[in-house]
Amino acid sequence: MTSAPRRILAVDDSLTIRKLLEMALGRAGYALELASTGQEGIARAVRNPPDLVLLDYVLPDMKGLAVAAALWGDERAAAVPIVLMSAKSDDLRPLFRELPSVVEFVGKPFTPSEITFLVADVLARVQKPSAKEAPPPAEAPAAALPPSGFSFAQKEAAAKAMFTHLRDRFARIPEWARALGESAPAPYFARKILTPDLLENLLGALVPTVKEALGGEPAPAARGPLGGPGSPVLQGQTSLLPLPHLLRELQAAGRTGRIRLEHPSRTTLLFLRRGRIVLATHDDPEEYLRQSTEDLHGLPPADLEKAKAEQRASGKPLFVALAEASRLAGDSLGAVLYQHGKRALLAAIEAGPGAFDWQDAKELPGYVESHGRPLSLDQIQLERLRAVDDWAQVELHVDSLDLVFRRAPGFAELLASFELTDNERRVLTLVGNRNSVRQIIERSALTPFEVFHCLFRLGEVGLIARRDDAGAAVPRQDGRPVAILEPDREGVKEPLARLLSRRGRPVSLVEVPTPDDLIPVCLRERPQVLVLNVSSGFDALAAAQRVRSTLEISDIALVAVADREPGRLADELSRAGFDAVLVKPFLFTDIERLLAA
Amino acid sequence: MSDERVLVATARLDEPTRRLVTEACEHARVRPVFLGAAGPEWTNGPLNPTLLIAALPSGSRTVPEDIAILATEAYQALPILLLCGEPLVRNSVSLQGGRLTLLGQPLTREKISARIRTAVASSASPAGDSGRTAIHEGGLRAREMRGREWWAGVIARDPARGDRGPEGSDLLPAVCKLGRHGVAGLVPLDMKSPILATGMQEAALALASGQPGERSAATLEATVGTTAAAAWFSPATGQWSFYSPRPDTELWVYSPLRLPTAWRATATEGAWRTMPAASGDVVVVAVGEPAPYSAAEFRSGEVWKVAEGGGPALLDHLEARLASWNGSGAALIVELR
Repeated sequence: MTSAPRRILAVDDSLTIRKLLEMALGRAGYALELASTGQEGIARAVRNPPDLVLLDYVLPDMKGLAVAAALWGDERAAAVPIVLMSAKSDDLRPLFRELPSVVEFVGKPFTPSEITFLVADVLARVQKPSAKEAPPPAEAPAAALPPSGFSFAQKEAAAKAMFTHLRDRFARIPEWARALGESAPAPYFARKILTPDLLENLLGALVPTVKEALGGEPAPAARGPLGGPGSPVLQGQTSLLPLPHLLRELQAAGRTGRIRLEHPSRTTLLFLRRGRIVLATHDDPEEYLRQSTEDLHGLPPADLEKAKAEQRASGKPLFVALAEASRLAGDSLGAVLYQHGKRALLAAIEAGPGAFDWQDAKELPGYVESHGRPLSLDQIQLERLRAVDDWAQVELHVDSLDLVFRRAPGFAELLASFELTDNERRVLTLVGNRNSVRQIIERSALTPFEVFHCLFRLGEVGLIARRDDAGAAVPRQDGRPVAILEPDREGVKEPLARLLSRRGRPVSLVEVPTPDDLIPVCLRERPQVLVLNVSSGFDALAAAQRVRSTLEISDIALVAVADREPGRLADELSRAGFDAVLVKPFLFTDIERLLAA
Repeated sequence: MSDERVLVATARLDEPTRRLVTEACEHARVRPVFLGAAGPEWTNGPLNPTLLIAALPSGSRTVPEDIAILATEAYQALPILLLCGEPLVRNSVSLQGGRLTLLGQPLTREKISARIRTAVASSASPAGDSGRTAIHEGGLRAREMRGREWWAGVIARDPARGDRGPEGSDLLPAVCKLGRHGVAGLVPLDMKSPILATGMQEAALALASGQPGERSAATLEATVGTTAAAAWFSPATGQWSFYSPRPDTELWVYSPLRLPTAWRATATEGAWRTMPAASGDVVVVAVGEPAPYSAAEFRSGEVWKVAEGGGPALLDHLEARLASWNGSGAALIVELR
C-alpha cells in the first residue's frame, strides 16, 4: 500500500522561489501547493491544513509574522509546523517565541537539496497527529523541537568554526611534509604559500565576506537588451538561485528554451534542448574576436561590422552571420561555437550576481538547431575547478593523507560527461584501486599538490567521494561477479564458485577463457574482483596495466594467484596494480576480504 | 565404549537427529546422556560431561539460552557442539578456541562422531605419550590427541615392530604439544629401519623448547636428517612449517576454504615449506611400502571426499584400510579447529 504524498504549502511572493520549491520538492515526492500572498496562504492552510508550511518572512500584503499568528490562532491550522524563509540577516527566532508552530528558519538563498533535506527533517520530527489524537493547539509539540542550523547566526558560527578548523589543518602541513619525506614539495607549500600573514589576512577577510554574502538582499530584476517573444515563466536572481542550480533543475525537468542572464558587463544566452545546454553565447563580439583562432583577415569590414552588430543585438555569434554571408567556412562552425560556448558558459557561472529569466520554447533559433552541440555543465564545472589555486579550498575537501576515496555511484555513466586530463585519469585509476591519498601520491609520481587538487575537483564534480561519507549513498557492489583467468590444473574454479554462491550475499563466478578475452569480459561483466593466475605463462603485468588503464573497469580489485612464492615478482605485481598476491592454496577469506572492501 | 560422557540436550532435537547422535556417540566410543525437561538421564553419581551437544534451528544465529546456561553455569566451560538445521559455508566451524563448534547440514554419523572426537580426545603432553589409543591385531595402532586449537591423529601398521625390541624404533608418528597451543608431528620415513623413538622424542622436544623458529628447524633437521618428515603449527606466527627431506613424501593440506581445496605441500626446493595456517586445515602425511594412500588417490580427490568429515573421519578411513594392509605404513593427520 502506498501512502499519499506529504502536502507542503509554500507561501512566497517570489515566482523564482515558488518555482524552485515546486521543482525541488515535487521531484522529492511532495505535493506542493503555492500561494503568493499571506491572505491566500492563510485561506489555503485553514481550508485544508497541509503537513508543513514554508512561509516567506516578507509578503506583499502582510508580514510572515502575522500569517504565522493567524494560523496559530486557528484550531484547524494551529498544529501545522511552519518553516520561515527569510533573506534578512537577523535572527528571527526571538520574534516567534510565542508561536511554537514556527519550528525552523531557513535563510535565502538556499539550494534545492538544502530545502529538500530541511523539509524531510522537519516532517520526520513533527509527526502530524490524527484528528482523534490531536492535542489541543496550545500543547502543540513544536515548541520543544530544537532549531536546525539554517539561521544566519548559526551559519555565521558555522563559518567561523570552519575557518578555525582550516587554521588547525594548515598547522599540520609540516607534519605531512615530514611524513612524505625530504624530497616532497609539501614543505614548499607550507613555507611559501601558507605564510602567517596570508593566513591571517585570509581568515580575517573571509568571515565578513561570508556575512555579507549571506545577508545581502537580492537586486530587482532588470531587462537587458536581448529579449524574445513571449513572457518569461521563471525569472529571478542568481544570488537566490545560482546558475548551476537553475541549470540542473531545468536539466532534471527536461525543459527546452533559453535562459537570459544579465550581468553589468554582458548579457548571456543559454539555449537548452530537453534539459541539455546546446549553445551558449553572449552579446560581446569583441570578446569572440579576441579569443578566436579563425582567420578573419581580409573580410570586408562592412560584413564584419554587420555581424558584430547582430551579435550585440541578439546574441547571435558573429561567426554565424559571417558564415551565412559566405564569408566564413561553415563546416567547422559547430566546433567554433562549441569552444566559444564553453567559455561563455564558464564566464556566466563565474560572474557575480545577476538577473535571469527563462523562457520555454518549442523551437530554438535556426543556428542553434544547426550548429549547437551539447555542452556539459559538469565539464565546465571541472574546468572552473582546475583553475582554483586556493589551497584552503582544496584542503577543506582533502584533509588527510590517510583518506581513501571511492568512485561515485554511476561512475561509468558520469564519466561520459567529462574530458579528463592525463593527471586526472591517473588519479582516478588509483582511486579505483582503493589507495589512500598517501599511496596515490607515491604511485602516481605526481606532486602532492596536484594529487590533492585532482581529488578535490574530481570530488566536487561528483566523480569520487570519500569512503567515510560515501556510506549508504554508494550502492552495494553485490551482484557484480568475480572473474577468473586460471588454467585450473588443480581445481580452483569449482570450489570458488561454490563458496561464492554460499555467501550471505551470493555472487557468481565468470570465467575469462583466454588472456585476449580479459578486457571484453571485464567491460561486459564489470566484476568486483578479477583473479589472474600469474604462473600460467601469460604477461600478468601487462594484463593488470591494461585493466588499470581502462577507466571504466579500473576499479576492479585485482588478485594475482601464484603457484609458488613469487619472490621479487610480488613487488612488480603490486606496482602493476594488483591489490593482493596470493599463493596457492590461498584462503577464500582473502577473496572475501576484497569483496567486502 | 569409554567412560567419557557427552550431554545431549533433547530440546529442539528431532528424532532422526537424536538417532544420528546416538550412533555417532557409539562410533566415537563415548556415552550419550540425554537431557530433557526432567533433567539428565543419569543416576550413577557425578555426571562430569566432556561435551554438550544441542540442536540449533535453521535461521538461529545465537546459542539458545538454556544451552548457554548449561555450558556456563551448570557445567562451567563445557564445550558445545551445535548441530545446525541448515548448511554452512564451511561444514564445520570452530569458535572461541574450540569452546563452540557448529556443524552444518547434511549431518552424518561420521561427521558428528568426528566433531565429538576432536572435542573429547585427551590433551597431548610435550612428549606426546598420551591420548586416546586404539591397538589392533597385526601391529596396527592409532592414537588421537588434541590441544585447544588442534586435533591430531596418528596411525601405523608396523608388523616388524616386535622384532626390533622394546627400546627400538617405532613407525607410529610422534605428536607433541608445542608451547601452549601449537603442535608438531613427526613421521618416520624409513619403513625398514625407522628412526629410534628416542630420536623422535629428542626432535619433538627441540621443537617444544621454545627456541626461535630457525634454531628449532636447524635442530630438527640435524636430529632426524632424512629419516623423518614433520608438520609443525605455530599459533604465534599463524603458520604451518613442513619438513619433507624426501621429495616422494606425500604431504598434503586440505581445507574446504582453500583454493585449490587440496594442495601437495611437499617441499620442491630444499626441505622446508611454510604457509599461513587457517582454521579447518587438515594436514596429512602418509608414508609406507606401499603408502596407505597413493599419490594418485590424493590427486584424484578420493581422499578428500573422506576428509570432508574432518581429521577423525580420515583416521577411521586409514584405520580400516591398514587393518587389511599387507605392508608397513604410517600416517599423521593434524586438523586445526
